[in-house]
Amino acid sequence: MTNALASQVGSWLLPALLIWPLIGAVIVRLVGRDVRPAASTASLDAMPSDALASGGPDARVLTLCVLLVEATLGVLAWFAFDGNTDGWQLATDLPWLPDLGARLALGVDGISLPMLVLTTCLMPLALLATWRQIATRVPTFGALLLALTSGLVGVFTALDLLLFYLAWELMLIPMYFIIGIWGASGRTRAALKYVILTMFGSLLMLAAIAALYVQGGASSFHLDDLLRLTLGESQQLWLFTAFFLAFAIKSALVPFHTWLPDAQFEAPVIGAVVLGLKVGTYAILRFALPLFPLAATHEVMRTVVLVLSVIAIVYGALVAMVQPDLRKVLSYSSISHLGFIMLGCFALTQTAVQGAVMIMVNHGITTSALFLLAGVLRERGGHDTLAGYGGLARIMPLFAVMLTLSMLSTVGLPGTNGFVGEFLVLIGSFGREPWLAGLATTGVIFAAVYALRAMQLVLFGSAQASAPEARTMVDLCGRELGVLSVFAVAMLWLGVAPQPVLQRMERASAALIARVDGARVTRAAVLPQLGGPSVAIGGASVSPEGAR
Amino acid sequence: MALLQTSPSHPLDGSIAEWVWLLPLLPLLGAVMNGIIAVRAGTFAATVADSDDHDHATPPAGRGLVSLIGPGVMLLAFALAVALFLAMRGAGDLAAPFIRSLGSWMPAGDLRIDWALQLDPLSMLMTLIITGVGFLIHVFSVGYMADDRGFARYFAYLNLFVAMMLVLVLGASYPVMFVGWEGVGLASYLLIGFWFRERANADAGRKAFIVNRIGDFGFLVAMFLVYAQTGALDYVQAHAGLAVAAPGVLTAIALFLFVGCTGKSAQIPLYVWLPDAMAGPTPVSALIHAATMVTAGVYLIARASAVFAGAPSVSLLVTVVGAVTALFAATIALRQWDIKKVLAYSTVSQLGYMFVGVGTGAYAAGVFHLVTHAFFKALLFLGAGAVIHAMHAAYHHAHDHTADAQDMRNMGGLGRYMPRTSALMWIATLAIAGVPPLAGFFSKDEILTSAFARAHNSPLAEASLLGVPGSAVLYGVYGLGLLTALLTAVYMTRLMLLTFTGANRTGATAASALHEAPALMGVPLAVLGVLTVVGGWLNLPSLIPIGPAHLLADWLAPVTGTATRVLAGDAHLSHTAEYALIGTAIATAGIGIAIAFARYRSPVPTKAEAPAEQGVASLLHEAYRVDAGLDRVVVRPLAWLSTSVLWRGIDRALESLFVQGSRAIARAAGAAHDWVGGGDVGRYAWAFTIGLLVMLAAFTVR
Amino acid sequence: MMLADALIVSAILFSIGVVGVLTRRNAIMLFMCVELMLNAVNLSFVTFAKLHGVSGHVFVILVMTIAAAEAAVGLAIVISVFRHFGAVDLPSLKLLRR
Repeated sequence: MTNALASQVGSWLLPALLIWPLIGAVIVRLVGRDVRPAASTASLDAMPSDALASGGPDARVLTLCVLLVEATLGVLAWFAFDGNTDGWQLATDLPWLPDLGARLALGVDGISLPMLVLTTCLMPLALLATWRQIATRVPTFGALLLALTSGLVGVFTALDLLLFYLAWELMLIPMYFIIGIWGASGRTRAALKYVILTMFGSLLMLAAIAALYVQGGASSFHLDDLLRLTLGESQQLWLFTAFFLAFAIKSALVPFHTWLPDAQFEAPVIGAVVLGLKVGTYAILRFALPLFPLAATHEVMRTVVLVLSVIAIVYGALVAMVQPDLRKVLSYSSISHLGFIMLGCFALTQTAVQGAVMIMVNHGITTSALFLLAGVLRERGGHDTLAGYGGLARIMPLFAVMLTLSMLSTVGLPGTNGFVGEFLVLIGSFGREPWLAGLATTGVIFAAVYALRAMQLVLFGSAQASAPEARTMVDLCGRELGVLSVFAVAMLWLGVAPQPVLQRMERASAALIARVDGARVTRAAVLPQLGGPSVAIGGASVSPEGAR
Repeated sequence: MALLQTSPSHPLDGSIAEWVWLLPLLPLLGAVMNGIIAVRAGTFAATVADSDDHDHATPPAGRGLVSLIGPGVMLLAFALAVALFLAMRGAGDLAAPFIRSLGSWMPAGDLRIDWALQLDPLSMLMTLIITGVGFLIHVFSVGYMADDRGFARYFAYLNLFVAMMLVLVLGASYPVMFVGWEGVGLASYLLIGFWFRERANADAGRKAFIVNRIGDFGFLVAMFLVYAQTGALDYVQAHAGLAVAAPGVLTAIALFLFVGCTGKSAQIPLYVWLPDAMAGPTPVSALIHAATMVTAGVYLIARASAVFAGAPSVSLLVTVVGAVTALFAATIALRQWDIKKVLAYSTVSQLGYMFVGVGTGAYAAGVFHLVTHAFFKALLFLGAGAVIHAMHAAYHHAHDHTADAQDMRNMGGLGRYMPRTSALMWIATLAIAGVPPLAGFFSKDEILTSAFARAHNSPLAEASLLGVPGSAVLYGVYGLGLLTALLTAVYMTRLMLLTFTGANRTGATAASALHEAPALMGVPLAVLGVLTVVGGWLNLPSLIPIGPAHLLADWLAPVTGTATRVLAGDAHLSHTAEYALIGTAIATAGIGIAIAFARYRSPVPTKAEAPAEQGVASLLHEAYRVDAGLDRVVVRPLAWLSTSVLWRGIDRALESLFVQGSRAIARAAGAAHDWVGGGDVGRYAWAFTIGLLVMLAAFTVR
Repeated sequence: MMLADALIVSAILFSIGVVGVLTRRNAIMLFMCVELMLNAVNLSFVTFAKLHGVSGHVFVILVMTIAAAEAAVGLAIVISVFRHFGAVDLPSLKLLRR
């Protein structure tokens, strides 16, 4: 059945996923109608009243419809994927800039598929949950959100490096506007910081792409062609560093993380949710590791990255422990989890890589739920300061249940999705790096500390601790509850039965490890003989994209 | 590594054992149903003006239904457990465990972990205890929590706990056990902080969870080591692989597993959460902090007996930690006035005994004490619960909302008002003190005997711990154990004397409302009393020919027999020695009780009038000020580190580095541009000229 | 040879013109130096015309015409600047600068 589905949709599904949000963006901007500012935060109305001036459909409803179609396409891709085949699936190759050698080449494998489906399903849910929070210039917002979605899809499916770069930037610009226009009081500064730091990384990446292109004879930007290049070790190191810096900045790896807490604090909830998607680490798995295996297995480089990862785990958790605001706790928690992902990526075992991708998926789900809840808190109570709340478990029981479940998932309680990824990463990296993995495991202790502290300050204690306005806060309305229930089910389901996801990523992870580890074997075998550092990589005896 | 296979042709195939998956599922369903009732009935949502969690006028919402569901699923689970047990009894050869896989869990790379449950003598025994004692405590709770607004929520959490505990003991692999391990930690957190309106209760729950997590860190590392060594994580394959592992690896694994045990079972140094856990409702303390969750560590060592048998120095460490903890906690219990705190420290102390048992390789003895302790400690806690319940009612009647209903100085002479409770608790006290023929005597005696016996002619005696030879260690452990037995008799008798005998100190108005526990609470007490009396029959020593001997040890033999034999070596005690040890134990108990009678007969001031503690008494009362010490040495420096160094220091520095850095780069670029010419056209002209000359030169030179 | 001599003279004249353009402060002097450069180029064109034919002379006519036009426009600008600023001292005309 899966193959039949793939043959039906394979030729148009990915381009549709990429182009449809852009079309939708234009439609929403031109046709969508703005919304009058929301009357009161205590109102339980899910949809704007009909008394609004006529003049086209509500921009939010339009955006939601576009995103729902996108989500359906994403789910279609999930079912059309065959976990037993190697190489790119649903691959399409359209001509674009023939003189440059750039093509619109799209494809998914086991690593990008979960991220793709996660993103497409996440967007409509997040929009639905934060329905009332964007109340001005809504058509523009919708258009920007859709452009952002398109950028994300492009990043996850692009096989052509130029297209990837374009999508990367497409992700960046709308986010800048989203933070800068609809954010909280410190939004300008946060948006500016975000853009400057991320663009600096992008610049490095562009330079590296250009160098790679030139090295390949200036003929093609396609990943498969570039994977066939042989590069010297020092070349690989430089290019890898450029790529790695770009992706490390975007994923907020310590010490490049300082933009994230401010950005997520000031951004509207949807912005914060998207910022939490681990695009940078995906790009490392997709590009940095396979293209430059000698750099990835280089002792010093690898040790540096691994040490940074472990530092991130502990540092993020410790700083999260003392934050006064809920959103900042979540940001630093994000930084801590990123450490786990990086550890999994660079431990270079298949189990660890699968764990890393699992964390990426799970983190997307859990952190999004948490930011949605934080958004509810800010919307109802006006601020995120933990000390300003208390005893909310009595006042908002449904909120309390959802917050508790999500926090437990962050902590990595077995039975929730958070445990699966962390466990796989740790056990997968322990064999190669016992000391570092052991240190990383202490992260589970600190995670419990910061998560429980944040949770308890808000939920437990006497309600007298909350300000008087807070004591009349309304619990989750049906719409919010519905969306969060989807997240809750996902958290529990993926905790108990993650194997559909794990199975789909097996081949891709195995291929990745074979390619990167092949370099390590080659290096060990050949280096002593040649006595020099610049050894051509011959490890491409296993080609991960055999089906192309 | 092959996918976990279900056991090939086991005697239990096709029998009722196929329904083993129903065991954890029943309480889980109960939890879900009770949870839905709790949320729907809005038992969370009360108007903020509520100041009392107990409204005696209107019954809490959903009480009737929950009273049926909560204990009901427990009864069903217990019935199933009994049926499984009978099937196992009649099945014959149980050398291999019965394993059923419910599906794949985490397939990734070479790692294959399934949701698999394992039925063998050890897990069966634990299941019976959990469901049996658990059912009794559920019934008791119906009476105890009858007026609490959070009735439905309570049973949801309690059922969740039992479900997780069953997963823990029925899991067929370390990761599945770990699910239960952390799950009971979660349930414990929720139940300790049940009355979360008081921030102190919630904080106690949090402390329990975090200290447990420190132990969990050890468990995780042990799991990683096992996997790295053997490529498997399920008991059957992992233990087979570890049989050929180097002693150093076994030592490391055993050590980290033990770290996990100290967290869950409240041994030094991770015991600090247990006394605080008394903030929860008393039946919770009975179930979780006496009978089941805290015994998970003992269960783990018994389960991993193959590992510990191969690491004698770690086994010695286990006994030392157990013995020291036992004595340490007993001394603290001597000077506590809160009835629940006495029992809490008593639990820590008795857990120490269990660890001495499993540490010396007498796994059956340790598990035996686990079982008997479940009986009499649950009885003690539930009895204390009945007392507290009565005291609450009494103070409520006297409209006194400040007096402490749990302080023994406010009690006294309650034996007159609560004769049945008093009698049953005396039985439990004698049991824990080690008076024959009650259960506690046999189990405690067997532990001490095995410690003494293995001090000679066994691998343990030959091993050494940090340079100290094993025999010296074990003799020392025996001595500590004996001293602890003495103190146990003293503090428990003290508890009984202060509470049930002498003049009543509650105050006339309040005392008039003191009454015996209602039947709903009394019947479970009685059942536990019977079990306490006959429990010793489970594992009679062959020395005393009053009945079938070593029933428990024989039952557990397929699981722990080999390891026991390995660590026992050639250790052997002559009959004379054994009689002497038994005599010493009985004498110690008697002396302890006598001391207590001598000291605590005289009248005691009430809590309000009591003078402040001084000197050694003060030190004991404050539990050697360990909590304050930990706060000063660990918690505050960590908070300081995170706040001042990491956040305000490094994070801000990094931030300004990047922000100032980009500003500096932009400025520098601007300055460079200025330098190049700014608006100065003359400079531009120069630039043209020079550039032109350079190009010309380049062309001519080439 | 004669051609080489003429070219050398042309080069010298051109260099003097360049140096003058770069260093003179007065705008009128700058124009005179520009004219000098142009005429130096004219000289070299005429010299090469001897080798390659009449196109060199054509170029000279072209350059002279353009020089005249440019001088006219330039002087008009200088006068305008003088009227506005009261000076034609180049270093002091700093509006473009930061």
